[in-house]
Amino acid sequence: MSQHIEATRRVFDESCALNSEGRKLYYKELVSFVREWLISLPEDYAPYLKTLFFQGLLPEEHEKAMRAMEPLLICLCAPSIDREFIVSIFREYPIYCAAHAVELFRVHFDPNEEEKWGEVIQRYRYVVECLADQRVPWLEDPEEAGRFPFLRLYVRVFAKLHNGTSASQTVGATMLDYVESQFEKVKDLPASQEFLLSLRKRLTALLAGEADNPELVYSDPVLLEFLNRYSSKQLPPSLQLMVEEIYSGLSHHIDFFNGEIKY
Amino acid sequence: MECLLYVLVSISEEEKRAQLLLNLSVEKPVLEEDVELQWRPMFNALEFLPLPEKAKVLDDGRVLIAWPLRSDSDPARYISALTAANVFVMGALEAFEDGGYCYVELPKNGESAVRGNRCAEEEVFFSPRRVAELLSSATS
Repeated sequence: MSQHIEATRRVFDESCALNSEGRKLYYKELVSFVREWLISLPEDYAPYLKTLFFQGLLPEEHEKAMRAMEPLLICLCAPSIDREFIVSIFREYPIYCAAHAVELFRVHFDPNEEEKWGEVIQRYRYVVECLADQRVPWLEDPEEAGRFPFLRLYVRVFAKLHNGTSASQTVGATMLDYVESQFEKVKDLPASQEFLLSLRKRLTALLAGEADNPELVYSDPVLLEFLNRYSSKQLPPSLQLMVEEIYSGLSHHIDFFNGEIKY
Repeated sequence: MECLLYVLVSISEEEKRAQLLLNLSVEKPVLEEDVELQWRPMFNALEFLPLPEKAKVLDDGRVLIAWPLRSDSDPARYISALTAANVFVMGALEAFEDGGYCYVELPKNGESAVRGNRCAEEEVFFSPRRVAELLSSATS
């Protein structure tokens, strides 16, 4: 290390081979990604990132080295990650850290059309998927109560379908259960209103049979499963009611029967 | 208020100039072991330096580099990194988006560069050519 920094908090297990050849290749990809996308990092983040990656160490003070992106970067630097690790790291940090990480992903990488940084984005996507977890208390921080980034990811699933593309590449398709389990808590938040309007608009078009590329869209497993939950009244009550209202207001609509859609 | 740190350097050797430009670009090497032995001192000196907004090659082997400075940035960090990379620094100034500039006093006798009190009202923030003239004449 050509620059002295204070880093004494161990975040990875020392026994892991942090300097393997494979890790070095991954580090190059990660540095390239960070330089291009994480521009809000402090000016002196780079030696901290290197120390974190190759020694598993950070300063004791949370966010000192890499501000709100610190928990995401811990997850991107770790020798391996799983849901428990991701949740435990993000639980150590304020909730806005998770919100920032999700927002950056939503705006730029959902679905991912970048060929660069394949391994980084793949891991990043997994982090976002795992943040759809009740143990990361999205809704319990009063200052951030208006934020619910996962609702945006949920709406994007239906926007993609409306636009005639498969929903399976969107990260939102992996967290439908989570969003629907939280739906009643977030539907009345001020920040949710524009997304609920957008959701209603997309669902109306889809249920009216107006999707582009209908052959693909009306056989998409994500949409079929959504309609299955609706038919068996498993959607959260407000969403169930929204879909019922949309259906009753349409003179022409698609029909869901025996697991298939007629449009 | 945006601020750019302009630094004018002179490198007559073409390969060394190319290495400097590489180490100031997004394509810069990441690990020391990927760098040829002779260029490792430069890599180590510049490894953690923020990337500049622009690095433009002028005539006579000069290069004008522009770093966006944050309010807590110290120009000395940039100058000393270039000096440690064995790059000759001809001059430096801080240009302000709403007009005006101030020269950075280059290090003497092993001291650090410091913000000077030689300032002017002229708007040069968006005029790298004018900055190059100013920094060249200041050293001639």
